[in-house]
Amino acid sequence: MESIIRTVGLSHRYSTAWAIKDINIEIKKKGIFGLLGSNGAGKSTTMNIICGVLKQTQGDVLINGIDKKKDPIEAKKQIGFLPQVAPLYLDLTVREYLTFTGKIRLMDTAVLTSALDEVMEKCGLTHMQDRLLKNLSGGYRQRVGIAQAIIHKPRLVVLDEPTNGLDPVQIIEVRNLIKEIAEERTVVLSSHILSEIQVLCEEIIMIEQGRLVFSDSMEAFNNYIAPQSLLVDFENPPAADFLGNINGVNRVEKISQRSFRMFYNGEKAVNEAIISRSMENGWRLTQLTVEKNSIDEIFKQLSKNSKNI
Amino acid sequence: MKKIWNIAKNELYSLFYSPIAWIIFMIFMVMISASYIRGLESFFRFQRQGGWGLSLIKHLTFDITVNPKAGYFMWELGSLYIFFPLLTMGLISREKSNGTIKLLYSSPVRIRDIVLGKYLAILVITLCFVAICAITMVALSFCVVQPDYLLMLGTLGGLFLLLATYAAIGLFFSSLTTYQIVAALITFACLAFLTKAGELWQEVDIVRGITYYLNIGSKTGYLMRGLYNLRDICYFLIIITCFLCFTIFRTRAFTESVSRWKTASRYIAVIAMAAIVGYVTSRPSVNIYSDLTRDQMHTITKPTREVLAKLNEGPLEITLYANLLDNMFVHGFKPSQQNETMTYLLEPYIRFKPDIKVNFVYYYALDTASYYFKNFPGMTLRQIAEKQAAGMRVNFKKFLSPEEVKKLADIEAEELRHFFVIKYKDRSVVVRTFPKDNDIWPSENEITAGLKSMIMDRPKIAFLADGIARGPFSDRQRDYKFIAASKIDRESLLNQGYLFDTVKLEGRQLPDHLAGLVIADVRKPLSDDCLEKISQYIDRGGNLYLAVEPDRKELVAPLLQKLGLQFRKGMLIQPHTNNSSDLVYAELTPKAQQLSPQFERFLYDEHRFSGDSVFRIALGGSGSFDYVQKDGFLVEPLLKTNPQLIWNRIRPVSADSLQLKLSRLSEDESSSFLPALKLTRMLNGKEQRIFVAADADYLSESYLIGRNPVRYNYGFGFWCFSQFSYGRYPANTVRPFGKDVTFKIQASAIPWQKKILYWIIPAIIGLAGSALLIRRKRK
Repeated sequence: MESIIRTVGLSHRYSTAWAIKDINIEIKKKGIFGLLGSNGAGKSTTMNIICGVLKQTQGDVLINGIDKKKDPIEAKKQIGFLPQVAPLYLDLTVREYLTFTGKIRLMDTAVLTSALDEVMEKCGLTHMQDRLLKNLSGGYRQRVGIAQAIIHKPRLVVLDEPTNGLDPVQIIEVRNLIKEIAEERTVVLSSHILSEIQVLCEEIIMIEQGRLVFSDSMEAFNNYIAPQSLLVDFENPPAADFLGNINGVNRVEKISQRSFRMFYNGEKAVNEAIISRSMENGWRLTQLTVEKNSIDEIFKQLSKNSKNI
Repeated sequence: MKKIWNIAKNELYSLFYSPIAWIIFMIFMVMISASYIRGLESFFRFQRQGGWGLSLIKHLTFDITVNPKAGYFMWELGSLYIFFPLLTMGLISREKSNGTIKLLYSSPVRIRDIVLGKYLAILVITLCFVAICAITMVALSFCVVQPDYLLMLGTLGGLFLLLATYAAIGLFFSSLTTYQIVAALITFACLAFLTKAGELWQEVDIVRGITYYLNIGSKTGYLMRGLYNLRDICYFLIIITCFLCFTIFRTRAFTESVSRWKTASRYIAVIAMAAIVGYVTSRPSVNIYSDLTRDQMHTITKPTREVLAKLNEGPLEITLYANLLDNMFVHGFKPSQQNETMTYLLEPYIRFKPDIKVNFVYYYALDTASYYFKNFPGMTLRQIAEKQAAGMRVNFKKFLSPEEVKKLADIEAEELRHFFVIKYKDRSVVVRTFPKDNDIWPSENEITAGLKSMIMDRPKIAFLADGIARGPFSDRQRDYKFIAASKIDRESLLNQGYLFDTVKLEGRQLPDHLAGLVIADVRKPLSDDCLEKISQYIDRGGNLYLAVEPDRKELVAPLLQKLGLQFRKGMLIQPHTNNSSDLVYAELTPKAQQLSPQFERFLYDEHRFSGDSVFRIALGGSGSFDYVQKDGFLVEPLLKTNPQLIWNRIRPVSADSLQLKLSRLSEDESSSFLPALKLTRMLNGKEQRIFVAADADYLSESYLIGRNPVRYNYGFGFWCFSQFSYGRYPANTVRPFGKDVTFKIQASAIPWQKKILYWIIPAIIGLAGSALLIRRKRK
């Protein structure tokens, strides 16, 4: 199966400093892919290169098998891009703007007319089509930004922090729209907010300090970041050594008379074992909380790992 | 192309959906209309007033629109380079500051398409400006009979090229920054530089040519005035191409990180290509011209072109000798003004003979009686020259000392003035400058006379000096220097190609190949030998000018008799209130008015401007002739008198009595007398031309020019002498009348045009813009 996007040894340098170095990404299926990284990690540089806004210093980008260096026009036809700030001509109406974006994506006039209605319908813009963009709210502007990215039905849609600056209601609306779009195509979405990525994405790519530190499914990621410890409270607590004998538990730390932190291997079976032992022995379990790593700690750890690789 | 057009269309939406463009269009419409109406009214007034004002109307289309001094287009060009940066400032900088540039970068379009799309949009705006100017031209075409439409199109084309260049420059500076106002200011500075570039570093030999070439003003002037040429068109295309390439490089630079060397090398490559193309197309041998004016106003006349065509056996060398210490030095002769001299004076000739080589020789010299020596006592000539050079900021090292320059040219013969020396093969001629005139430079007449002398001998006129009072060289008032051999007067026969000499016949023969012999006012009896030689000269078919004073008529009676002429006894009297009674105004006969096509045209113009149909020659103590036609001579009167005003007094009149206002006596003869005649006959296949005048004073300096009534002595005398060269000299550079010299409107039409151009059209522009903007705002 042809990759929708594949980057090989992608590197880019601004003057003397490398913004990204040796990024290798491959996406072969539809769905939402999260590009995660802290601010300044190189997410936007990567996205800009993929979308043709920047030319990489080294490496290759293949969109749907087309080398962007060799045939940038054909490669760009496969892409829809929403930068961090929606690229809107505020003096135009929604319809005029989307017509223009369709035309510069080389759409036939006949196709464009139906595509316009379709995309406005999909993005909930039909009733706003004759409004000037400058008169729209932030949420609607973002929808227009997304609409321009999908009007030409690209195989790959790249969204750079699409919910940035929106209120919670607008965030939900935009997220729903992204999910809907991803049913038909590949969406690469960048964010520095882990929860957003977790909510939307099936796979996750992490970049830190310009290097790829993680690329796998969300499940794998969740596992990666999971639980290295459990916080447990008992009404009738056992001895710490007793808890340490449970299979999979490495170490037990007594926090108070009734509370313990149990360092374990992350397997769910350990949780089940604790519950069943409690019931069997009458420890009267009142709380069992999985303790996860913070995003910063994860980045730190992943960076360390990637350097070790 | 479709991609480019789509980007252009989007840009046009941005431009027209903002009020800036509409406001600028309105202001420009009002400004250009005001200038147009001002020009129209001026020339309309000239026509209504008639008289000498009419002499200013030569080609109304040209005069009103693009005349360098009065044309309204020329006035308004300055305002355009103020307006234009306001329109170009946002072209790319707005995209960058809004972030929309990323949309374009990520779309399947090339950077080139983006830049060309933007440029196309601003070209549409440019066309709007041209259309606004065209409105005034349409208005003008309703006013003038037979307007020169091709010139109008040429002017609009030139304007379009100029604005297209402004647009390319503005586009580039818009790509440099995200701040629109900064882009506007840099664009303005760049346009100002290009407008003034021609004045920069003109004293430095190495860069003079480059900065003069970069001067946008002179290039625009040529095209807008209807002289299209490859060099200037290429200049605009080169500048446009360069700035479009720079814009592409700059816009692409945002998407890539390349080394500074690579970036610089791109720019250098474009500049190098531009320099090569510019250099090649500015070579005279490569340049192609097309004069779009209907009457070929910017092209030298056919006779001059024919002369240049005959100079085809090698290069022609023209050297300007300029004297630092001549008063006129700063008026076009400084080394920094070389390019202007070349363009203004010599390019029309170089156009038809590209291998004209132009040299400049600078020297310093002073007459020993010069006031400089009194003003700077104790200073040597060199010290004075150095002081003056420092004051004029010219490099003294360029100037030759009198001793050095004398090895190159006879500066004393040219009275230490500025002059040109034209050399072709082994011939050379001096063409002079004329400090007494408004325009010091030699005109096409003088230059063509000089050029002609490279391919044909200059006609030589000899003045008989045996007992003769009048000669061609002395400064005495009664002599003929002013009309004959004055170096400082443009219209002297010398500066129009003739040579002068004096001859004594006692013991000598007349030189061969004389164009004509002048015998003016014989004061002593001519010897028989002398009379015989003159008689033989006449018999051989020699041309002659014979001027006789009434009281010395007997001295030339044998010659007159030979020609079948008799000097009538007496003296012509015309009483005046303010002058002596021997000042007689004879009238030019139709034959005299047709002495040459140039003279005929001159008199026709005089008739148009002054209303005169009688052209008078002032004679001082003149007699008249009777004639019989003999020896095959055809005798034609050139001057005749009005019997109502002038009579012939047979009785001698004392000089004292002449100062009174004399009355007619019964014995006075009343008739139309003939003070000047022309005799012609065919001899040996050539027409012999003899002119006789019964007065010798009328060609002396004091009689030549005067008013109340206007006298035409100069022209009459000039063209009598010119008959000796059979039309070869002076060169006929008279141009045909322009067709667009009259208005077809009444004065009442001008206020209507004012209303339409000042108010109605700007209002329509304003309303259209307002309607569009209000409608948009409601969305």
